[in-house]
Amino acid sequence: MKARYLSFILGTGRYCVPVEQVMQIVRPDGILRVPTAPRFVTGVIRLRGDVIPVVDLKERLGITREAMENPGRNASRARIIVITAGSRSCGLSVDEVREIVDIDESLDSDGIPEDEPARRQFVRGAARKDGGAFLILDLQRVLAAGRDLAGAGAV
Amino acid sequence: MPVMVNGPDEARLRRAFLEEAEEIVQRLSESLAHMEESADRELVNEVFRLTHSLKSESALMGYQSLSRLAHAMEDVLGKVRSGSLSLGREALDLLTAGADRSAVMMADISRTGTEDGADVEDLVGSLAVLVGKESAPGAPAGPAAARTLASARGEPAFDAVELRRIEEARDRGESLVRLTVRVLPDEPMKFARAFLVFSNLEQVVNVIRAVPPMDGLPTRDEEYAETVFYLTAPPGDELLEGASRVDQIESTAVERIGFPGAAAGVDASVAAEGAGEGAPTEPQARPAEKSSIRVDTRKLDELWSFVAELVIHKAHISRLCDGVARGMEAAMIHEELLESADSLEKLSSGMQQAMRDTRMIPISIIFSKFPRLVRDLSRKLGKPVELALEGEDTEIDRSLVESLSDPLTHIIRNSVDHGLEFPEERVRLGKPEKGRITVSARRQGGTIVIELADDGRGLDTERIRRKGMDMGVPNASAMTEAQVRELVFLPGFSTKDVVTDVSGRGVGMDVVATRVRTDLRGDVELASEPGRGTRVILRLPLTLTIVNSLLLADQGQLYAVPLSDLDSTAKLPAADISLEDGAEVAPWMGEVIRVHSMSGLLGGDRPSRDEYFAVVLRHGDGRAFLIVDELMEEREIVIKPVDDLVNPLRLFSGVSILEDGRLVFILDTSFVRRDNF
Repeated sequence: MKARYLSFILGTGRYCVPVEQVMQIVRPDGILRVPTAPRFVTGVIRLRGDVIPVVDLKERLGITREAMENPGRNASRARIIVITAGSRSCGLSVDEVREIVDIDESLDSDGIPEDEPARRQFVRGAARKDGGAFLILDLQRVLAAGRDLAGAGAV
Repeated sequence: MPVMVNGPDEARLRRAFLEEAEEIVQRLSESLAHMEESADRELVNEVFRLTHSLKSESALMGYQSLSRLAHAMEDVLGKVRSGSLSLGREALDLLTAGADRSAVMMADISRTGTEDGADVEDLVGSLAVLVGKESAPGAPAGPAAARTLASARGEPAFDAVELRRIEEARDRGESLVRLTVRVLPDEPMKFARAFLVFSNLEQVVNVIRAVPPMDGLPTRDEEYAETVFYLTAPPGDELLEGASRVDQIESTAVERIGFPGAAAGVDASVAAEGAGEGAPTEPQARPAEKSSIRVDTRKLDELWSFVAELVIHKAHISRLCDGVARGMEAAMIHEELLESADSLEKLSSGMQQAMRDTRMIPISIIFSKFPRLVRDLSRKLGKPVELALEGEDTEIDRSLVESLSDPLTHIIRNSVDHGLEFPEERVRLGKPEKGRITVSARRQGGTIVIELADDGRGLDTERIRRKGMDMGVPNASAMTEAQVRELVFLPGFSTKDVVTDVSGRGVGMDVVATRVRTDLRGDVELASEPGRGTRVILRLPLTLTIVNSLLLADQGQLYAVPLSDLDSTAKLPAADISLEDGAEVAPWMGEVIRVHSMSGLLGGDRPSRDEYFAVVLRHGDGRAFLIVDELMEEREIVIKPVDDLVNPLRLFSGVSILEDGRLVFILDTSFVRRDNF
């Protein structure tokens, strides 16, 4: 069974999220900083009257500084993908939004980098397509704001 | 022919009648209330049967007005049942009014023994008018036929905008219609004919989509030999027939089709059974997903007048812009702008007030159902119950009403059914024979707190723990009492001993928890003392509400305290602060209360100064100082929900963005009680 995903770029890697959870893609303008939030939360944006947190995905996934800078990176392509998960909405800041891909749901986990446990916990699986590998994000985990985060926001 | 009853038998018979009829009307009201959400065939049948019973019962007792009223209601429902009348807003309102009137009349009968002076002609008349409004002849051959056609043909995939329009129409009580128009084969300008029908339709109904499309000029005229219009229309085909009365049209066919997206099969059967006209329904939908509310038209008119004024002001400002372009004098522009700003301010505060009025509603609208519910349960279960309601004027956002009603009803059912002991047992335990249930509501800052307490046996935590272990809940054996209580909210956790449902509607506490926690973004908590009773505490955020608050600033960030949570502002000399059991305290009004600082709450240190600005926060009986950098002005702010990602410490109940773009966090003062000693 195939499912559709929106793919995007973070550093040098390609990732994707289920299309049906994507609400909107916006430019990273007007982000309000929130001093009380954990480090991986850049701040909030205002969208249709709601106040929505923006997650710095690279920070969240623990993508290292070295891997973060893609030589071909163009800051003007940076976007926020606004997604919904359950009753929550959240923005994910990414380097570049790419195309929509059809991926077979039977995932293989071979493509998940073994050496990066921080990243691994936020990834649901990997898929190969047209010669490239896509890591499929586990949005539930990315948005988890449970007790493990208490104190992370301490200033 | 009514049977006249006299003598001592009369009172006895009347009592029996009243008991029966009261039950009927109660069920009638409940069923009608459910119909608001979903009108499936079973409900319609049930309501029909109930009105029928009410009619015969009251006729038998010689209560002719009551009987006439029930008869008129039955007629309407009969039409609905047979599919020749749609169950729209008007019908539901009239039926509900009928049920309410019956209840009033029965109360009179119970008091005076007669229904003298009761006037039902207004309602009977309106109901009769409704019955007269059945669909005109020439309506679709039959609902079943329409359904087959619909499924055979397959609907187009509507896009988001179209779906939105369809949804809105459904909320208005309209149905989705497929109108197929065939142009005579020898007509040379088929598109023109189809377009005439289209523009006629646009005058009277909402055309969602035309196949082939009507925008732009056609490439092949032949394609328009048969045009299918998907549109939404109120019940009745007269409008559609009128609109398609165009020369050179060979035939038109009207079919009412199910709404897209409704659970498969359900909408079709409702459309077929309920009316053949798509009664507004989506039985599978959870209330939180329903976004329509009923608003008094007078309130809408008021809002509309504000909008009209807004338009005038916009024109004024546009004129000023022109003036600037034409080189109007700066002083004059300034003066006019000031005037405009002034009026706009008045206007916006007026709109705010009007908008709030439309959204807020006293919680008594829910609470008022409880006396009856408790009376009914009490009688059914043989447990005398005293019900106390508190804080009925507490205003809640009306969008919460629907979603709240079921969980609260369920909790009360549980209390009477399982919480309260039977009278003999209570007497044996030295408790008053009558059980007591207290339902209270109050506003606490940006939160509504609803408490349902009984003085029954309390939760049997050991039993719950065992059940948890049976279910394979990890660590169930080692859990604290509080954790065990939380098990009750697990899906599928419904032991006969803990939660069942008197009426068998099968709502468990897990549904209550989901409804409150997920749909209403609130929280539910259980407190219990063995032998003393159980308390269920619901905390609900005010999703959209405007609260008068005091603004505070600390380390460059703005915060707000709702005035209801604020006792006073104060200057607190550092010398007043002392340590007690490791916590900082200071004297206040003859007491010693805790001292917090905003930076301390966020995990940092209190800055060192000689004297601090502080507010005295209040939460229930608790008081505490909160030190901040700066006390600012009082103002009304619109509270929006705040996601846990930016609120990891759960210090805030909401967030707001000021018109200048600054972010304000609204303090949840419940930590005050938490830390108090």
